[in-house]
Amino acid sequence: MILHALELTHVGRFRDTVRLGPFASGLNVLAAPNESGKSTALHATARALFDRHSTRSEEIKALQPAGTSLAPCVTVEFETRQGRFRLAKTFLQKPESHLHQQRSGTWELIAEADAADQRVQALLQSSLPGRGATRPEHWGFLGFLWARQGEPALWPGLDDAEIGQRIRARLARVELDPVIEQLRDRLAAAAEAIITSTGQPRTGGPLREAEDDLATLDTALAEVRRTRAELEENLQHYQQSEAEVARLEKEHTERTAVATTLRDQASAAERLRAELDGRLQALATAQEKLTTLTADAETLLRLQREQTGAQTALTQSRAAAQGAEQGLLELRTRLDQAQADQPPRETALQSLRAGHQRLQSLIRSRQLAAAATASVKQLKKAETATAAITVLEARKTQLPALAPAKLKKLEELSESARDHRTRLQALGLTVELTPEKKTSLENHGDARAPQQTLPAGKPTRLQSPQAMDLHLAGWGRIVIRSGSQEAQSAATDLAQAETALQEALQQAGVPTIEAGREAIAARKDLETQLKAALAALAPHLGDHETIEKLRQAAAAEARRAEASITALAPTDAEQARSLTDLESAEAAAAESVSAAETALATFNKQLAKLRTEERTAGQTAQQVARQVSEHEAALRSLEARIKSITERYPDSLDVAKKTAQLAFAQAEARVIATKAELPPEFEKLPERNKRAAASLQQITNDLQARRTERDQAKATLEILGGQGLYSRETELEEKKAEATLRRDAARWLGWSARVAHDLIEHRKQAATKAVLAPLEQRLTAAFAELTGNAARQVFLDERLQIAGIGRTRDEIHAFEQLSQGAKEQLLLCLRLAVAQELATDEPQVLILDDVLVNTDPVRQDRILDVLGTQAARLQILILTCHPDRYRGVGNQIKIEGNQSVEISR
Amino acid sequence: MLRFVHSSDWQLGARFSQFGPKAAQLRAARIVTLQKALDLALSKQADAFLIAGDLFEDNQVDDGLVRTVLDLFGARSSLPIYILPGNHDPHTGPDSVWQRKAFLNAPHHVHVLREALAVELGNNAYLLAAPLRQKLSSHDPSLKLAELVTTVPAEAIKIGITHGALAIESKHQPNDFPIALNAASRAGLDYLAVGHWHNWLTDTDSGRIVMPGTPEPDRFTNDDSGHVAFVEIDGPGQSPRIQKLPVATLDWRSFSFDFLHPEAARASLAAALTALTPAAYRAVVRVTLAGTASPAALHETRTWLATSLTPFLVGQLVDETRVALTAIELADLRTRHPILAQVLADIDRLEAFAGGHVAAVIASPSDASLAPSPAVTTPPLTLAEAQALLAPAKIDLTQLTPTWFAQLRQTIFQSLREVSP
Repeated sequence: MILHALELTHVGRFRDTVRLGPFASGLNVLAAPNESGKSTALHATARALFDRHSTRSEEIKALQPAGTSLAPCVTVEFETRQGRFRLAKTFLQKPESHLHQQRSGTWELIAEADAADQRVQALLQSSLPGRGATRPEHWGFLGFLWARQGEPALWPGLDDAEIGQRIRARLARVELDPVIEQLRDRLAAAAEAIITSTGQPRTGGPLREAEDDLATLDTALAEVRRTRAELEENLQHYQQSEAEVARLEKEHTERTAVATTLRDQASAAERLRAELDGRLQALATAQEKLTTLTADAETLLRLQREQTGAQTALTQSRAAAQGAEQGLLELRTRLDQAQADQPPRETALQSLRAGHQRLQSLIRSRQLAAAATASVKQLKKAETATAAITVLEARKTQLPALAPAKLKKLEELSESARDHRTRLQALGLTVELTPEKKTSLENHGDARAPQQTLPAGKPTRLQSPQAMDLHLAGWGRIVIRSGSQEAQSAATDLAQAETALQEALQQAGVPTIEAGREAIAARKDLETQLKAALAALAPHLGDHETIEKLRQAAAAEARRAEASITALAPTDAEQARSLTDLESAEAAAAESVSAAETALATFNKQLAKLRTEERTAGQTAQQVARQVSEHEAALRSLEARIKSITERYPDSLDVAKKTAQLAFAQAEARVIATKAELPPEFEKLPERNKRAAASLQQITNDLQARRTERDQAKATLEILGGQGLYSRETELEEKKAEATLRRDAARWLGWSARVAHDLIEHRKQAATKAVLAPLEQRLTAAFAELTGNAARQVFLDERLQIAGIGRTRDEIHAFEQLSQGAKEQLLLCLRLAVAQELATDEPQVLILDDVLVNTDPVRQDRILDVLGTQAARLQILILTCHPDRYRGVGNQIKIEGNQSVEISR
Repeated sequence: MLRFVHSSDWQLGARFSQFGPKAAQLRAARIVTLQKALDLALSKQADAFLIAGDLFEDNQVDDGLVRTVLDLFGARSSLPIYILPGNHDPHTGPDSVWQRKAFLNAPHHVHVLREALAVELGNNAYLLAAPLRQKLSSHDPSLKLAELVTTVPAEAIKIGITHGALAIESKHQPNDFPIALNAASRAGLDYLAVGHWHNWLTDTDSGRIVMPGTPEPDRFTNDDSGHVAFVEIDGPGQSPRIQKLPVATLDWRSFSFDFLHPEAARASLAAALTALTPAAYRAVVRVTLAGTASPAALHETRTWLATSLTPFLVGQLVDETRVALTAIELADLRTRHPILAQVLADIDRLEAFAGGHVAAVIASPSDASLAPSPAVTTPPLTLAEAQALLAPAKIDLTQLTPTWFAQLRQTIFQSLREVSP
């Protein structure tokens, strides 16, 4: 489709009617400033061509002039291969639509209202949305061929719309086989009904249903099989129990017979056993009697032998007692004698010790006196050092208490006053007097120097803040005044500073700063001397913290020395002796004492030994006397026992013994006879009988338990066996086979449809790919012509979208990453290619609504060259707000206010 | 003279998974056959009706079936019925079908031979039974008969009954109750009624050992089944006279259709099906399609068979065909739908990758007029492309069978037919 002319009334800024056209078949440039209505004119054209006349969408209302409710009217003259048409639409108020066709030079009305809308839609192969205004994707080919202001870098997806498909097919010259398309769609539908895109069974589809059925059947089958397995297990268990029961029953019978036999044997043996026990008892009694008689005879013989021995021992012990008495008497005599010698020896030792102690006391007294003397000397030295320290401290207190920080402050104040003075001198009055002859001067304004003598010929400078009142001798009075405010202020400041300085000096206690500096230096020097004096005092104090404590210690030592002398009361001779003599005498005395102590100790040992021997002899005598007594008692006892035995047997012991031996022999014979009647191993019979009974009981219990098990297994088998498990399994297996067939059939069908569909798609894309290269070459050539750079290629993807540009496909700059300018130019190339293709069927318009805003002037020229070339085959309509860029290009169209405009060619 | 009917391997309650919903009908047919056999025995004035094992398919058949069978037996109280447990329904113990209350309280004329014993049949005849108590054994059950023989009068007619495989070289398994081929003469029997195999078998041990086979066929390969044996023995030591009586209710037929000669095959099959049609209600028919044919021919034949098999009780179609285009068809396809031609070539490649045999074009490809046009010479499908194609739907190449590829081609041609009739 191409445009011939536009007429707008009540559209945007065009309150009156505006006509644009006729448009040429080639390049048309509509240049106008921003907001002049050029895009509005094209938008209105699109609304007229593609929207229903009855639409009342916001996009239509936006066509109305601002602030009005006027009805927009748009008339479009256009041409397709079906002919030339004129469409006139009125929106909103009394909407209308009229379509005329030019036939034989005249316009004939061919449709109105909705029919007109539909006819245009058919002519332009456009579509309508369900509701609301149309969008570019509804505008047929024009949607692709109109690069709209502000949206130059968008490219609608070619896959989505039928138009896009056709364009792609046209570009790639891929054959569109409607049959294959339908086949593909049918296969896709068939596959999707069964499986999802990821190959999973579609919910609600036949495959999923079959799988669900199979799952249910498998669950049921598993349950039936589990029950059958349980039955099999129970059967095995039953058979085992049955075999076990048979075995146990046989064993039970055998053991019952054995137990009965044993029981009988045990009873018979029991009776014989009782008889044997009685006879054994009688035998034991006879034996005991015989044993007693034999023992009595032996005892009597032994006692008689012992009696003889006891007699002999008594005689011997009496002789020993006599000897022990004699020895004891002798030892006692010797002991008495030794005890008499002990006291004199002890007395002598005590005397030696006393002399030694006296000598030691004298030595200690001498030592105490010497220590007291030394303490006094130490104290004197410490007092001297302390006095020196006191003097230093007194001198220190006399110094002013001026700290360095305070001195600094005084210096600052002095400096400040100096500054003020200087300033004042600068600001104040300065008078220089140079008398010709010597004279005197009175300065009434200077209290510090009221009178001074001025030498002849020498200048004397006088300063004052503001005024001077001078009296020169021989001349008269001079009063000088200054009106300077600053000087006054400086004088005030100076006075304040000097006052502050004086007050500070007073506070510090120094007359001048120099005196302060000297005071600080003197204080420092005193402190150094004090430190030295304290260091000299320390050794004299020793362990004492203060001199007072040292004084107390010295006094204490003196008292101790005095007390010692008073207690000892040494004689003159002792006092006359030297300390060395005393120490020698003390050493000798110590040796004498030691020797005397050793001798006394030896004597005491000998005395103790005698006492021990005396004691031992006494004990021995006592012991021997006891032995004599014991022997006498033993003899008496033996005699009594012999008497008791002989009195028990009046007929004599031998006769009694013979009678007992006879009785024993008879009892023994009866026992032997009874034993011979007992069966072999009779003593084991009770235990064997017991074991046999226990064994029988155990087998009986086991048999009962196994019978119970068997019966339970049998009951279970009867129950399970009657459930018809095989028939149930059969039914499920048959259903499962059918479901399996359904599942396999569905899966096979789904896969078939899917694979067939995918193979068709694969081949279609392969076909597209095959023609990608030529299309890329065309676009590359066009882009190279636009940019002047032939080194870069344009690459497309399989969907014929621009992938990017670069030297190779692997190293492309993706479209999204390109600059806006590059994107605009690439899309222009693609639009040109599309337009060229479509133009083979019918004329096409390419609308570029201010889309090359990011293109530099150099490239702009190239683009114009390309557009100029393409204009031979296409109608190109450029809307721009940069008329300068398009001077002399194509057919120039202008919009000037609400007037009809003409084309300038 | 002694007359009796010898049957075995009824296997009532058997499973027919391959026939889906029709399985129940096949099972029901066996009950009809049993009824028929019992009535036949009555009509022949038989002294006994012997079932030599496998009356039931399994010990765990449902009670309903047991009651049905006992009702049949009960309705024929003048016919003594002797049932021997076989390897499918051995008398294993309390779980056995023979321990169901129904059988424990069976009518007096129904005798379940649970133990090895000798039973007097009357007419100077004794039945010596060696039943089975387990599913498998390497023990010859007929050995017991030799022991039982000593417990019956020597001058009586001695009929043995047991169940197992005749120990024919390479025809039996060692643990399948092997019965010696001279079991009857070894035990001094006049007749040994055996069950186990499903086809009729005599001529063993001078004709004294008979295996009648299953009275009702249960598969397409039982060529000689569907009978019971009617036996007459005049006296002890006499040779038995055996009649092979057909009793089958269903007619199992298997046909093949080879596309090598489609017209002849169709005519032959049509005639066979027509002949079966009067008894279609009891016909179990299977038709196997084989060979290679064009899509149109395959479609047409399948459609015809789908209709033709409908009247039969079971009409099973086994499709082993392969679809292939003629050279002309392929050239036409390339011209009209080049992409589809490429797709078919891709399918061939796919099938080759999957390890299957690729169907060839029927006509010779050497005809120059049938050469592919240059426009459709595209690179063949690679293995990587094939795997990438199948991956999104998680289709494993190794799972794709020749049958599936046949269906794939069929799906394409069927869909093509639907979109471009």
